[in-house]
Amino acid sequence: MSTVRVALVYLGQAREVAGTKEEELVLEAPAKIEQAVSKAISAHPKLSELMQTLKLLINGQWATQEAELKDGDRVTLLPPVGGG
Amino acid sequence: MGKILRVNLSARAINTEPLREEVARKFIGGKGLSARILFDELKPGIDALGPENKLVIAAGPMGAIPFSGNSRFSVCAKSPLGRGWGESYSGGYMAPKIKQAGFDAIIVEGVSETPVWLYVNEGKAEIRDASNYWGKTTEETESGIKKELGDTDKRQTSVASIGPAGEKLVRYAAVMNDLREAAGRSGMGAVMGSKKLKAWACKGALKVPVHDDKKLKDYVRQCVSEVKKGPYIQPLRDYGTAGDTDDLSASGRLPTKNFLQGTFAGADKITGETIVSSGLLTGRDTCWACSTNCKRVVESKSPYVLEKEVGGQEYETTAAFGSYCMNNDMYAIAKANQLCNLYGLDTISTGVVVGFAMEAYERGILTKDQTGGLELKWGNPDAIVKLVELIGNREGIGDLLGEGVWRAAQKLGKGAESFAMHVKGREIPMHEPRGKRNIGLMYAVADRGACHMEWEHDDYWESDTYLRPELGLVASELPNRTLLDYGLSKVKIARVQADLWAMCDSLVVCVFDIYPGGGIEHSTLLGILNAATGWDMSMKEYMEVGERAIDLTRAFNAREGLTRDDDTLPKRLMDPLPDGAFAGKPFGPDILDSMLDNYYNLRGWDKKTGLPTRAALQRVGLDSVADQLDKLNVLPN
Repeated sequence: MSTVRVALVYLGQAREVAGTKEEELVLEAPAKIEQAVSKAISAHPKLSELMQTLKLLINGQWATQEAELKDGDRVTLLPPVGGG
Repeated sequence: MGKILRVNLSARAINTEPLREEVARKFIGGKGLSARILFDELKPGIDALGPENKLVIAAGPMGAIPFSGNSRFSVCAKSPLGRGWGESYSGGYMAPKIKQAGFDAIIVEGVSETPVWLYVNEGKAEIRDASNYWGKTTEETESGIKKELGDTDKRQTSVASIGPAGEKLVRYAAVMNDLREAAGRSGMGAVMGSKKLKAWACKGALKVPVHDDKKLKDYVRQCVSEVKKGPYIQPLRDYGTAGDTDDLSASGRLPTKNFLQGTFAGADKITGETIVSSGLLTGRDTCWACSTNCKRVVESKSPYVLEKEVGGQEYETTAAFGSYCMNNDMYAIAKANQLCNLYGLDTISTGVVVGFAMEAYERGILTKDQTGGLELKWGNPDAIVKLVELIGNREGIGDLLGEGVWRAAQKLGKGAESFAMHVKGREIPMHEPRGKRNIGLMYAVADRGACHMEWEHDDYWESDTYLRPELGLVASELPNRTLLDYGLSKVKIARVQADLWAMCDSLVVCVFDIYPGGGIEHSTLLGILNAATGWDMSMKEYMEVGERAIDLTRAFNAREGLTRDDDTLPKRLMDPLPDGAFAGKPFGPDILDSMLDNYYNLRGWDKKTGLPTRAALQRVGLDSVADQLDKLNVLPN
């Protein structure tokens, strides 16, 4: 079975909920962001409450849940960033 | 209802005036009340640094009621940075002290012949000699005044002062209070300096009367439970406002290299989390009655000496002296921040000025001879720190740069205007309009000049989570709300939020604790206001207060000759970014024009001139303002 190894980066409020800034995920290939997110929610159930407001990036570029992942990708979960 | 203290420094006269209930209810305090006073009392065209300008220091009607976020006061005047309206806000411990000293607002007019400070204590005031404090830092001034008053407790008196920058009329000089808090923006410190007013101090324990104590306590309890629900509160407590730094770089929206880039490779070295993990952070602090604890305490002996009392860097400061200047040294950022606090400088404007100077140096417009040998290369931490000192003292190149980027660029010539990042003379804050369209609109239309605090940013409105039908934000009526959308939905949100935040600036509460980022609902604030005053204000009337304040500052600027042409952005912000998630997506003039058209329409302002119409002014009871604009031929037909 082939796998895809990606880094999941939590920012802001997502980092608070996950309790870490970054973690590595190993997913069954082929994999999309939605599989990575689903695995993250299993590990940190409270993330599900935030999902409606989180935006996703792969390697610094906007992405949707359907985007395909490849080895070494960095997936960022970005909460709303406001003024201050 | 309340009292206003009027101090004329030329005549050395002190008077107390009543704050009439009908004025208080229409204009509240802070922004609204100050706009009313300054519109009525200032003549158009006066020199902001001349004797005719007036400074209005104001709390709000809920002042001294203890709940999170209720610790701010305003300082307003005609701004010496641009050609029109100036306003600034600060936290700390001053706001309740203004009220407990017996006043809702203090109007300072005229000019003293010699340096003075103003002492306000339980309904009385006196003008005292400040010769001994002139030339001193804000820290030296505050501790000197407290010693002079014989204070034994550090919170007995709240002192606000200017440092050398304000005395020397640096146009973006700040007013500093409680050592680390700044009414930084718009150059209010320079207005104090022009009046030879070194400081004011408020002391007292007068009880502020409330109409319905039981109801008030219920609403305050509600605040305590609501504030915890705000999505931004815990990250704010853990990492401070600077916790957003790496988030913004990750999403391509961190102002970098004088707005030439949207990402910064050193963002993780300066972000709030690193300030904590490195040990630079030695404590967290807060403002009066606030449970959020967003204030940073930093200490260090090297590479720069940092004093724990003088404050730690906020996000704006982190970006302004960090990514904006290509500097990844958080200790240099912390030092530049503390120097700004001691000299009394706005950290946003100062950082933008330093970034401007670095680009001018790179282009050969500023030479090593002009900088006195200072190597103003991008990312040079020592040069940043040294330049802040030069600006604070207006020494060498600091004299020119103390004028702000708009005037400095005009004096330098050679194309420097093309990279002077300001709107209406005020330096642009650390948010990227090419990745948040409503920020571009906000920078353009804000009457005080480029501002990031007129309404909550685009990110919050992409999902339905924070929309509130009772505030006119109905999901089904607001399609297309992504970061890059700029149609009517986005502008409607901006308009509603602008009214709400202008009301917050009139109540003078901290928006960090208020919906949507903080958890306190506007209905709860309204409950507190009504319980405190005995009014029966509705949410419609509450929002109208904000609208009225915005119309009034726009009328103030109309009188000064500002029009739609001034509601613009530097060309650089309209060109696409080369990097990050928003690379290649410009905020072109067509986008701004479309947003302005919609915004003016929603406000009832004239699309051609951007000025308020008679109908718009009458809608919020500003008929006399319309009459005055008409007399001056600036009321649109």
